[in-house]
Amino acid sequence: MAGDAAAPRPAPVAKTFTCPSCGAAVVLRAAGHSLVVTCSACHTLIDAADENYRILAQYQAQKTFDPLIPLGQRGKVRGEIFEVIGYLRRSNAGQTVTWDEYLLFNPYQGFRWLHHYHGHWTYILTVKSKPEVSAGRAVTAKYLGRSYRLFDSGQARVAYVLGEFYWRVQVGDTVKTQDFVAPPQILSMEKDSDEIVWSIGEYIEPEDVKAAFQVRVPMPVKIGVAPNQPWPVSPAATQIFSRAWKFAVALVLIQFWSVGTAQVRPLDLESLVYQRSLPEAKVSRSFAVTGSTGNVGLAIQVPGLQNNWLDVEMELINETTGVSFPVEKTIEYYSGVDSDGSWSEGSHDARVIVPAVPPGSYHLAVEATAGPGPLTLPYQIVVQRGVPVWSNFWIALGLLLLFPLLMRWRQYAFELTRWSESDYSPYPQQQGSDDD
Amino acid sequence: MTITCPGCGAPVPFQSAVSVFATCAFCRSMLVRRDLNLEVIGKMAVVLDDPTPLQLQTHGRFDNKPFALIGRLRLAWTDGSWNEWCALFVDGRYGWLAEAQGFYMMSFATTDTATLPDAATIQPGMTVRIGGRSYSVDDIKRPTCAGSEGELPFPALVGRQSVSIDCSGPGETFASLDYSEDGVQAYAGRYVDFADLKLSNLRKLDGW
Repeated sequence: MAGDAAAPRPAPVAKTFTCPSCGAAVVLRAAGHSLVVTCSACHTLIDAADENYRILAQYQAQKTFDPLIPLGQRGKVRGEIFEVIGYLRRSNAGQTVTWDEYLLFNPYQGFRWLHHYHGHWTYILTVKSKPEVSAGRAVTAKYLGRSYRLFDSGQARVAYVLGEFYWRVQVGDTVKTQDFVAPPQILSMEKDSDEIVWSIGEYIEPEDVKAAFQVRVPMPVKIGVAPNQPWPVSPAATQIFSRAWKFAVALVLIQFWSVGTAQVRPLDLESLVYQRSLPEAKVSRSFAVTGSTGNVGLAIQVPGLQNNWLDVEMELINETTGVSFPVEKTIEYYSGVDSDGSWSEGSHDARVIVPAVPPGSYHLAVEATAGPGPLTLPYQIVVQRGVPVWSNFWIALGLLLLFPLLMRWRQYAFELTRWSESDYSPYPQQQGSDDD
Repeated sequence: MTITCPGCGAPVPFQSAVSVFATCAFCRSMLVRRDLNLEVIGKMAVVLDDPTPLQLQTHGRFDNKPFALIGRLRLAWTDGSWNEWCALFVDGRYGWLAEAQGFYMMSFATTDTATLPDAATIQPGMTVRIGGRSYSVDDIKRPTCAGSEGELPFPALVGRQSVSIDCSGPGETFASLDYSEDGVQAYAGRYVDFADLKLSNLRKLDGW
């Protein structure tokens, strides 16, 4: 656009003429494109394509609306500057829902729209390829490889007109509409007796609209969830979310790998007998704990335990350093027969894990105490190396998934709110909120 | 090739061999070419003052092939107007860059016009075969020529009437049929993004 040698006089884009009704100056901001324009002073609708500027309708506005963004205002949206040249207020068939539409113009880029409803803004572009609508489990429209789900079918009626338009708009003009969503995008169809027009819109934050068009008044507060409003989640949270999933997957893989490859090596087997008359500590023979620092499992088996308990206090003692690892385990087993049949409770064996045991020569000091009953009770202690542990894994996995699951739940609640406004909700409908 | 305007003596460029009609940029004489001779058939009375960003000698690319705009036809109908720019490609081929409400479409004439239906029988929603492909008829307009500039492959006198039928195919493809006193022409092409045309030497627009 720049750098041409012979710079001719710039061609005019805007044009001014006198209102045939009140004599005020009327500005045409897209002369040559616009077919109708309203006089800013008397609201008369004028034929902009007619050389005599014929009056199309004397404006019978019982109520006027001041657009939030004034006509003539320019703003940079998605990298391109556009000028607000028209404003429409439209409503549904029952006139229970009313929204604003701003027509934007750039002589190089053409036309765009800004749609505003309940504090939510969408930036819209007319599309020329026709999306394919198909009705399967849900009605969807496909556009440029993306699938959009039907959100709303209805009508849109022009309630108020300000500025200029590239078609002959009139108050009362009604079109059939269908909106399909894939947030943050919305694919909309408008159909009248002559043609079907499709457009694609993208959610735009009100603050971005305010900054672009230097809106001086506060932007309307967002009410509810817009059909195409993206789930408002911070990029940091998204990152945490995706990382948490990756870590969780990694954790599971590592756990299964370690369990799968773990070799529980028996180091020693002590066959012991509890004697009520001789309740003293017994010391095992020496055994070597090999490999790198890791856990040692002490599996106690008491096959003869019956309606009794055996409490085993063990101390794993490093013979070189004298460091000891004291642990205790109680094994209980009860069984009997009652009116419901036979029952049992507890177990004949149990295992206790001693974590982080460095390699070396060890022995075990054992002292057992049994409940009232037999005078002797034989039991065994199997010393093992490299026992896979699950508890840490479950705790870690739980903590890791806590945040993503919370986010998923909040997202679900958000989608539920979005689709509560639709007759085509994929979620189970709550009854009694049918207002359309 | 440059021929001297018989009206004012200014040079009138003819960049395409198929151009038979030109408007002198200086005296606005409408000229019809017969071999090397130009015949004045009147004066272009209208001024094209629409805010198009395109102009004669705007350069661009389509499918990576460079082209230059050498002529334009402005068409007006009851509910609007649009431009058809004659785009001359480096290989001598020419296409039409239509410009309507900020949308751009490039199309090329197809040769098999014999099988096309009669204009009167065409209805919106109908399927027509153009250049071996099926298109759906979108709308039917009856435009008149509202002016022209540069060189064109047919005489585009102001007031020339035609029937213009817009059709759309899959994706961004489209076709149009043009019925006039000169016969029927069929064009097939597709929508193009302004940015993708990589246009240079655009017209300067006041305030933009």
